[in-house]
Amino acid sequence: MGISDRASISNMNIVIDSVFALVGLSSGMIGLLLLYNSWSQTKRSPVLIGSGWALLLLSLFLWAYAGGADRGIALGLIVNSLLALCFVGYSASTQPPRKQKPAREKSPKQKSDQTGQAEWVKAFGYIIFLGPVCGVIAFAIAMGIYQTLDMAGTEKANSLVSGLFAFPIIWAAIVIFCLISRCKHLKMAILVGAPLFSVALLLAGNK
Amino acid sequence: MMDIDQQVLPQPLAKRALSAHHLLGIAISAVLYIICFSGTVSVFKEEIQLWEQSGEQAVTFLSSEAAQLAAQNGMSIDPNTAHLFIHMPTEQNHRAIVETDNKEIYVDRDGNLGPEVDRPWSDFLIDLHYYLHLPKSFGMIVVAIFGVFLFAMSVTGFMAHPNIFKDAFAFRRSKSEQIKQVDLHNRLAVWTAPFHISNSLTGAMIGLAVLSAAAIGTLKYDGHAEAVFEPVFGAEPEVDSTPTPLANIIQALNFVASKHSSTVPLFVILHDPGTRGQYLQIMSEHPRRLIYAEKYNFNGNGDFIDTVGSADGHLGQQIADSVYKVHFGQFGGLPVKLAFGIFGISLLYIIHAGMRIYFIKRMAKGHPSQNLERSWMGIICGVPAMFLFTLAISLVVPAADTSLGIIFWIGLVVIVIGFALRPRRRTNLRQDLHPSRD
Repeated sequence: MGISDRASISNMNIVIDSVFALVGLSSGMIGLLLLYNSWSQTKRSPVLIGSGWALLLLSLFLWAYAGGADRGIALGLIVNSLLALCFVGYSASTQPPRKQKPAREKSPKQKSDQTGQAEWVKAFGYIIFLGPVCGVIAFAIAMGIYQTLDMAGTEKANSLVSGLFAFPIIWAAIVIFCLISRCKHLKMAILVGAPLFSVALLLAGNK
Repeated sequence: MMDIDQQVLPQPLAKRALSAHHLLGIAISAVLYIICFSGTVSVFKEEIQLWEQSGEQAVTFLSSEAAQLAAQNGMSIDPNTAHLFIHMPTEQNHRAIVETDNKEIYVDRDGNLGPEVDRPWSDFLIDLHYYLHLPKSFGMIVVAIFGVFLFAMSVTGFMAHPNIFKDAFAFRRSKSEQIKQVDLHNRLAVWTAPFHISNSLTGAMIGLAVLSAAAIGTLKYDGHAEAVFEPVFGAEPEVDSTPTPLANIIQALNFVASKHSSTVPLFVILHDPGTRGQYLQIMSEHPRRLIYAEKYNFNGNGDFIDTVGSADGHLGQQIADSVYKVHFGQFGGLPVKLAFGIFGISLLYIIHAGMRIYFIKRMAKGHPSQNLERSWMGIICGVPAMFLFTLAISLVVPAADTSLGIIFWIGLVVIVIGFALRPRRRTNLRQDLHPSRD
């Protein structure tokens, strides 16, 4: 194949990619417009909302064609996010200016700064304690997942990357669980049981 | 920090998620702001590096012969190095660099050595974002933990807001300052979620990989943590230190240019150069992929052996190799970098708006936290101010280049204390609550 042939194929690819990108952009824009209109109404139309989401999804597929499978989807997400921010900006611009009403003030209580500082110290203390404890538990569970996948014969690269990503996700999940769960028994069962089970798996898999 | 929606939706789970969001927010916002600010600036690190080294010769293309000469010249100044890298010029970075274990030197378009690389402010920036200027392994883990908490913040934010989609475009600019801030916080957070969720996870994964590798290395590879990543990034061959001529880089680069012409060589990497065990890798970018680069392996004669598999190997390999570009927005040239810049600024504003909501609520309840609010403003203003100050120092006082980190942190502490101790006067929040009195 000659250089001129390669150049013309390359130019054709650029044109095709641009068309896909343009259609993807339009699809995302119309999808967001449908969602914007539907969510702005008091009575929401499931058809419009469904169509909006479908068009957003379609736009990602079109971007995948335009920019490469994984990269194109990432580009589509970026473009749709920026478009959505434009819609939020438009929504803000249609609002009337703020009325200058005097607000009612509650009289400041004494030592208010101290109470604020105490709240911050409490939050720091909680996180400093909770962070590492949840981290250790998440670490054990993530290693358990890695070991399970390894024992199941999963490719080493896949089990390693699964374990690496599982660690921060499980860590965050445990922090959230500790902060919002009310059931102490369930909390204890998960926070003690899951890491113990993982450690047992690790021991069994690495005799 | 999403109390307006909370009043409408009194689900207990949403309330508890909001409390968790609130607690995490006040505990991590200050350091998170510093990490995110440095990260936002780091998106443009190539451009900053180019600006910092603007006096050096621009190299738009380095031929395979020039690369070979650059490698030979690199070896002549550091003959005992175990690794030799050639940073190839790219569309974004018109510079060529030869790097050994101890030196980093520019090369011209013919492969001749130029001055040593000296980019103190870029180094300061990267050290801050990656390590917070702490010892490297420890600092990386600390930064990663903030990534974990940022991810937890994103999840609790969504959990605390069951009407997240219904209100996805609502921005009640005409309402009170608190509602305005809540809307901004929520709208920005929702629509930039793909960015901050992927960035928090990739950042956390990168940092925590050190811990995981240490554990897996101990369990499965006789304590060799480096061996843990071999299934993903490939293994180094056996060392054979018998001296031989330097590897044939010309042949290897020509192979990539002819057989993989759609890829862009980023690095030439020579392991154990000038020995019988030497092993040549060319990292070449696939422009339509998120992967950083495929690694093409060659023997010392420049004969192609195989690829590592970053482009077409196991899914885990492809995902692991995509983490860097996804985190730093390096997959679409300047437009994507600018988009990442906008998302980064949005994230900074999300953090700031969250704290403003907290202070407004305290004020409205009659518990103003003026010192804390002023300290927070000290961080908001102090971080960019100290970025500019350290940049000025690096330009004006080259002798202080190694102390930029210390200058940054001392300066930031002074600014925060200065803001906290400012004479009490009517604050913005008070004005927001009582606009008619001004």
